[in-house]
Amino acid sequence: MERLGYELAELPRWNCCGTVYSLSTDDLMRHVAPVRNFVRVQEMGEGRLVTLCAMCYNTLRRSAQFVSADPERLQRINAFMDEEPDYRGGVEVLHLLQVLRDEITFEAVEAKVERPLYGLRVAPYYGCMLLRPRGVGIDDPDRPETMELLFEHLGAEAVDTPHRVECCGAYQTVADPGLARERVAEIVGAASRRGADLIVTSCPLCTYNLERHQLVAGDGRGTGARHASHVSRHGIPVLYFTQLLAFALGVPEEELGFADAAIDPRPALSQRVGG
Amino acid sequence: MADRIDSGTLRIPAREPDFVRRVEELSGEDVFACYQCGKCSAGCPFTSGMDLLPAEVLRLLQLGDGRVLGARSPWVCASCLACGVRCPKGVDIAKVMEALRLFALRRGETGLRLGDIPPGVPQIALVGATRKLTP
Amino acid sequence: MGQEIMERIREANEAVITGIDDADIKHWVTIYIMGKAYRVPADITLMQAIEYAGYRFVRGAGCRAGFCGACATVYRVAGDWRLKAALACQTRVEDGMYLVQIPFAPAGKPAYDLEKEPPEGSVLLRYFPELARCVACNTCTKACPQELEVMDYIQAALRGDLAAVTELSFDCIQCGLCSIRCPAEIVHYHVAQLARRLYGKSLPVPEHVEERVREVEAGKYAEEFERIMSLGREEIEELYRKEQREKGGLKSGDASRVTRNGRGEG
Repeated sequence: MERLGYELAELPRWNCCGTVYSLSTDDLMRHVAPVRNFVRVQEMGEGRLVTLCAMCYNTLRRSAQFVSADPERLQRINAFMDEEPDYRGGVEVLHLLQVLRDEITFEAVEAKVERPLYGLRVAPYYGCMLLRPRGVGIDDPDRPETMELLFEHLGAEAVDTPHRVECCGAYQTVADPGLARERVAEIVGAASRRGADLIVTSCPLCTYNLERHQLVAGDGRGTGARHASHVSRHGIPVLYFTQLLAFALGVPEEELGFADAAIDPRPALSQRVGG
Repeated sequence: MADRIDSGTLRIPAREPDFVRRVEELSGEDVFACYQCGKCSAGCPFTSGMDLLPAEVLRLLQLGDGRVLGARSPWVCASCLACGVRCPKGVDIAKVMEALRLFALRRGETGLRLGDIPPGVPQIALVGATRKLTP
Repeated sequence: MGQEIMERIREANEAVITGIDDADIKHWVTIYIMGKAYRVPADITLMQAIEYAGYRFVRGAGCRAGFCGACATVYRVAGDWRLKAALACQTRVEDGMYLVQIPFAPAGKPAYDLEKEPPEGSVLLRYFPELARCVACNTCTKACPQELEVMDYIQAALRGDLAAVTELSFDCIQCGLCSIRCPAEIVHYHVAQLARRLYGKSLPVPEHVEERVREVEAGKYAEEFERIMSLGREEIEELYRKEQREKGGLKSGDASRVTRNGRGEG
């Protein structure tokens, strides 16, 4: 972000938002964690909260809307959190992709590119929480283009894949890994058939599922095996959009955590981009 | 034709059972808005693990059929919200699934045994799973 | 009969009331122990009041100095909806207090072999996956008699930050009040203990500790130990008081204040 002339400050004493938004009408307790974070934003004298994670984005953004929609709800939460200053409402929740697209602009990003990704075939994968429901998502829920545009501005070629807005299995990876495996085999299989060098995500849980279940998709268990033959033998590396962005902006490779990836992205990057 | 209508499958009780009203309260959704087009079922990525398709869940609720309360489908649903954005009648089906889960969770049932968690799952998955699947 | 009961109460509470004559007490409050009303002196701790009322501690009392965490107590004060939590030995009675002790927080501690566990945050989630159920309600923090930021350390544990958990939980006395109150059914104090042990393991052993261990093993203190072991009770108590005086004197609130008699010594 520094290279883009932008500064993000870490929220002091932030707490986990809960990762999934409560879909019931009467579960006020589930909004306490998001609101407590909004109180921290308020204490900083700021009005905007930027998340890197699609699940945080969804949970926080919807909670912000939920408590703003009804003063009585907010008052009950404030009364419960009597150890904190009252949340007065008004914090705006943004995903980093929105900041890049709407504020910094992709044109400005392009001007800072030091390592253009010419020839790299990138399959954007949005998953669910950045796009749904309508009115919360940052883009069209069926035909998003934010990441496509970003990667094209970085010099890469965006590969269109059919499952880019379909669920990766999400938290079911805990309760029923077979379900996630099946989803991932389908998602990665399609990206592979379309010749993607990389899959790039905007959600940490998608990243985990796409990496983890690619590696076991061919183990013969679950229906995932059906699709396993479509996954290239070494798998398709999965990167977070910030990693690819920083790489293109010329941030030294050692700082980008490529070595921690379950499937090493460096061969694909050096082969196409030329190191 | 009259015979088929009276055969039982389409019989709607004069007054919906309490559990249907409770599902509507918890979800904030009108299950009777559904006209069974099936778009939710067609777009759901998890139907392979479900005993009732999302549209069937709504249908059983409309019919006041208590079997819906014991269905596996709400536990398979990953709250991906694909159904809701596609529903032409604006029913947020994921909320209905959540209400059905809450029915069981608030009786102390659980959809996840913490002892059975696969090693190495990240916090983000664990937090999501415990929120959706544990009482 | 009445006389006999009073005798027994006096006997049972000798530690508290020796030296105090009821006639000398000007201020009284009424408290309710498990629903039954008792009139007790206004200036005593909950622990002293419970004994004054005639109860004898089998569990729920330990060091009597706010350090061992054995006397966890929950109470409400008439007219206040809040359920409060406190250590009985560190909290003064208030008029209209309804209280009960929670001498033990039911929670099994998982067995782990510290030698085999890496000093990494992920270990916490492996033994305590219920950490993920935290809703950040902060009820644990409100219950903590040590005034720790309990929720903050649970959030740090969820993130896997062993250093932060250690720092924030260092003064935990394991009374268990947090865990009794938690709607997510987390066992905070066991989590924090494992975090501190893992973090401690990751730190290098300080040079002065190693040196002292070498001295002990070489027998440097053997003679002194033997001398202390041979002393009688009175001599040891005298030695303790002498040590305390040398360190800057006994302060009110020290352990000795309530162990000898209700008025303290100093």
